Amino acid sequence: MNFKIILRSIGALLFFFGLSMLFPLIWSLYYKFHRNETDTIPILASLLITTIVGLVLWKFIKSEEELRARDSFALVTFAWIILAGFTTLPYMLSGTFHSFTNAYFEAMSGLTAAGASVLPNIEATPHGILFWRSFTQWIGGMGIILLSIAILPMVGVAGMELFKAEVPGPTTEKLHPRIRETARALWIVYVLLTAIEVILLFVGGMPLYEAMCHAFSTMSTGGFSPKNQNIGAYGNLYFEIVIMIFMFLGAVNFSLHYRMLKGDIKAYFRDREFLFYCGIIGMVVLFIIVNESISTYHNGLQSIRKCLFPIVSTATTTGFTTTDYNRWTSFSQYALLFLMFVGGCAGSTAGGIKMVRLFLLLRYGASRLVRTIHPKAVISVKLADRGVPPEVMTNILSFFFLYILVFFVGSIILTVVGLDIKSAFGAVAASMATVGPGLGSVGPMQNYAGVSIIGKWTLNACMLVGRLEIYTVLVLFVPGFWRKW
Amino acid sequence: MKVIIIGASEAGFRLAQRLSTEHDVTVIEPDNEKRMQVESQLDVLTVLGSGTSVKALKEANVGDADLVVALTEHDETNILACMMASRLGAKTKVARLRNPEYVETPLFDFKELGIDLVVYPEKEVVDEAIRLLRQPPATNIILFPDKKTQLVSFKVDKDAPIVNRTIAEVARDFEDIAFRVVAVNRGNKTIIPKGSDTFEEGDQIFVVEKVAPVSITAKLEGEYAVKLNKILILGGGKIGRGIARGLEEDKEASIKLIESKKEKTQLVAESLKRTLVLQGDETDIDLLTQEGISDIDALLAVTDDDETNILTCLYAKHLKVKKVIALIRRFQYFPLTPRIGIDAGISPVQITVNAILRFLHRGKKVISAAALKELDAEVLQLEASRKSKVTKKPLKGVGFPKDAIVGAIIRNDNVIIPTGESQINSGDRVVVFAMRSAVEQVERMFE
Repeated sequence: MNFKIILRSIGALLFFFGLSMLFPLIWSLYYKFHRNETDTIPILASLLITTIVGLVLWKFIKSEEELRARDSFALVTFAWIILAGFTTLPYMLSGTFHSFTNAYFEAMSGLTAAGASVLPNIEATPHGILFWRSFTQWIGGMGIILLSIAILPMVGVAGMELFKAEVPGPTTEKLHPRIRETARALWIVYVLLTAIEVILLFVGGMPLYEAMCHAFSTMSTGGFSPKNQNIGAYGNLYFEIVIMIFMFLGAVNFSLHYRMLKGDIKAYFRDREFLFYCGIIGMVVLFIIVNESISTYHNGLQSIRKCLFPIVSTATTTGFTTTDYNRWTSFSQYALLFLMFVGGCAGSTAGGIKMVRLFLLLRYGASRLVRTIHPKAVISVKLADRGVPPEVMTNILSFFFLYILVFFVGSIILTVVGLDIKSAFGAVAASMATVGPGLGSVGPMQNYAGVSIIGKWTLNACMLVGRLEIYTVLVLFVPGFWRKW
Repeated sequence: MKVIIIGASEAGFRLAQRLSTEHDVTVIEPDNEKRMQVESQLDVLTVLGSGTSVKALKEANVGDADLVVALTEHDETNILACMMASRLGAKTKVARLRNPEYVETPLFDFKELGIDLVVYPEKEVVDEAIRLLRQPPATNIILFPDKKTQLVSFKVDKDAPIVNRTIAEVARDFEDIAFRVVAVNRGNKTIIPKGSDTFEEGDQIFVVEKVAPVSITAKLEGEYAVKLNKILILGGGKIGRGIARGLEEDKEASIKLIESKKEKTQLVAESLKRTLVLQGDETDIDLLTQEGISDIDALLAVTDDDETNILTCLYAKHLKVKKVIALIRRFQYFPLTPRIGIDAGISPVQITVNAILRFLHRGKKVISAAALKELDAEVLQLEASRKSKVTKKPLKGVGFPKDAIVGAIIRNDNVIIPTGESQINSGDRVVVFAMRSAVEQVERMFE
């Protein structure tokens, strides 16, 4: 393990991460003059601390060696943990949070684009801080490392390993021969879609500040809002529709958006995962709406509006809320829990197990059943027209197992610290899939402030493990990883 | 530039590695394991499939490619792949061919088939082997296309007269000879030397010199014009035969060639005039002793098996043979050869890659470029034009990159070794040695 190069790289990341605090700084200045808010100095101080620490690590640690494939796992994991630490600076310095646990929880939930909050009164918090909160979701949603690959002159090969360690999905697809260009293409698509959403929200009458915050949290499928009642605060159908559309886009593989921008709109309909995703959402929407219009809302149209938004929000692992789904029937809540587990598409900003894995697991399961009848059968598990290599399939199977394992370990700890089973399951499932709001006592109208310290750190770990897709983090716990050979 | 490399062969891999830092490279390879290896080690796109499959070529977007290089192990595949790429709209097509019959009997015109460059590594390997034999201490020679200057490298022997002397002193001793020390490889480090740096035992020295009957390297090493006359060649393949044929032109040379396969020895004997062809195992020490391996001047181990070549070379070196040269097909072994005591290694892979790089740089201000095996460096020959920044001031004031050095200036067919006061004129061809990190800066100075 080459700690020097890892620290050096994290230094570079920190430097740019610190610079990105300029954006909340601008808003805090704006609101300093208009509302006399006091977060300018804390944000400026955080900016300086972060960039200076970054610069020192970056420029003063010398390493002649190159980043190796194995180091990349450690780099990605540590980068996320450390950057989350620096994310807390504005929160702590401005006095938004007094406990480091709470600040770190908010930071990790921001960076992983989960959107689980412990902030008691959001609207009482200065605008600069709230902007930073949404902005971290935006950076973390597409990926900090991916951003650095796009802007920093990183070594190509190591870049690919880093890319694999951060971008979700069972196999990684390069859009361009060079990794840097691939990272750039993904970020450009991301920036474009975000810009379009800001414009649409702004045109519809949302103030620019709020439009930006919401767009950041939508495209990253994050779920932070500068409003206490989240999207529900507006009660505006147009906003809900725009946000739903962009949440959905955020949870779709970005390489498809890239193809669309290149003029290949049909790429969506050739993609099995996308179709499967639409099918799953469609099915759940149908079941819940029928169920809820009969048992809760007694009104078809109202039921559609009340149900569609939370379903899309959960299925895309965003976690924006308009409705208290804790009031729904058990069946509907169970369906939401299922959506939390499976999450969005590979190569998107969404979390969860991912559609393509579920799709292949189903096909694989079916093929094993056929094989029990025809022991000599040779069955190729296919995605579109291509057979999936056995090693990829094994990888998916073990991913599924590890995901469930982490889920159970996490929820056991939460029941130990006092949550009921439903809330514990909901909290861990929502954290691992980076949804945010869970079920029961951590549901959409509550927040995570009531969870104990141990519970919060457990959920921090769940968010990180879920965001980086298990292997990247868990591999650090394999003893052999730290030995030279 | 969009480059498509067909075949992740040894040469395909190295070329992809070399080009992927600057260009968009896609590699087409039918063997999945090899493909995965390329994908995990290089920053390139890979396509699983044969180079002669239309589907694979289309998937790699061959129509948009600026350069297609076919480097599979089969000549026929390479030719066909280039023809198909040509039909699909690729701009420049390069094929590597092994079988010399294709050129020796001009049945068809490659241009007509859509192939812009044909690389025959075998032929160039033969040429390099002969060049190395004629210049005893050299371990690597890169001749520039103008045939006036060359880059030579050699290892400083402990008995060499230059050990522990500074470069400036040595340069004064040989004032009348046009040469310049451009790089010193010491341990794992490469330095661009100043006049005050000393030569140390074991250093790998890179010199740019004017082509002369006797290389400066021989003088620096203190072996004035030792001629290698008694030569043993191991391996009677195309390369072994070619070298023997080339050496036969020198009447003083006495050549023996050992080949293990009986059928092949017949063919070898037919194609050669004065060479003594022996049939036997190349690694048979008894046979080698019997044929007087301890008395020969040079050993050329050019069998198809790298390990055989390396082993026999080490054995010969142990017996104090003056010059041992091994053919190294596996590129990974190549940087090791000078370290384990083999005087020179010849790599068909490096030769192929260099030939393609030279071709890529044609037509630009960069006349030739050659990548060096042991170093992360390149030798460039550039032409200065009136607008070039480098012609504005004398060299020391022009802001030349630190990691690069001007080796020689060719002005009206004269080779000039520049000093800090020299000024480059437009129309000059300039040999520059540059670490890879500085190549771009150097090229910009000549724009």
